[in-house]
Amino acid sequence: MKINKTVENGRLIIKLEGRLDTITAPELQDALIPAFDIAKDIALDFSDLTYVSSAGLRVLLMGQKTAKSKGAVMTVSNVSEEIMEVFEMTGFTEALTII
Amino acid sequence: MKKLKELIIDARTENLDAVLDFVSEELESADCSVKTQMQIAVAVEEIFVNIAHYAYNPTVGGAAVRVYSGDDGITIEFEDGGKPYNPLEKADPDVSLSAEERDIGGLGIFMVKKIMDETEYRHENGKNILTIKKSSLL
Repeated sequence: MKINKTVENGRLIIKLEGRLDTITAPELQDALIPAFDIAKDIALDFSDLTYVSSAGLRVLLMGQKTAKSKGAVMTVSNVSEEIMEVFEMTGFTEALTII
Repeated sequence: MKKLKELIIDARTENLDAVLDFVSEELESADCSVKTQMQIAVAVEEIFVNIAHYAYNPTVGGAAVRVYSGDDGITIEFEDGGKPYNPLEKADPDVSLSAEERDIGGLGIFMVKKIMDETEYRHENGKNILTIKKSSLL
């Protein structure tokens, strides 16, 4: 998985490319969780993400909890139909802010 | 007649890609849709990683992954010689809770049950055998 961070108008955009699975989820955790110390608005761009497993969901939930506890916002955008189905079966469509 | 393919591999998380590649090859030749391929991969990842983390801990042992494909869909069987453990007995998480109310984790086996049409565990001759089946590959 590739992780690309950019800042646009005060918002940190984290673009993911590839697969978010057991092997790569720790990379997202390292990129995302400490970022809440400096950013109050983090947008995860899933346009080039092809796969999310439960290990990936765990990190997304951790991100959402961290955002809440730090008074920050975390959004997820450009979710593919396949990944959306995984979000739907686990109730993540409600737990996350998907735009 | 069902077609059978088998992969025997060390149960370590580093081997996850090899397991997923093996299974996807079979799903592709069975004309499985992209959506269903991804969902089955999610289920396979969960079970294999579970075996890698818990079956032989703190040592490492082997696992067999068998894929049967036929007119009635795809059946995948996982076998390991580790500690007897039925992951299907794990209680389902409450997926209606908000992010703050939820525990981190516990979703994996729940997803396996949601994705697959049939899941079955048995302990036989000192082996854990977990079988998952998906009838419709559309």
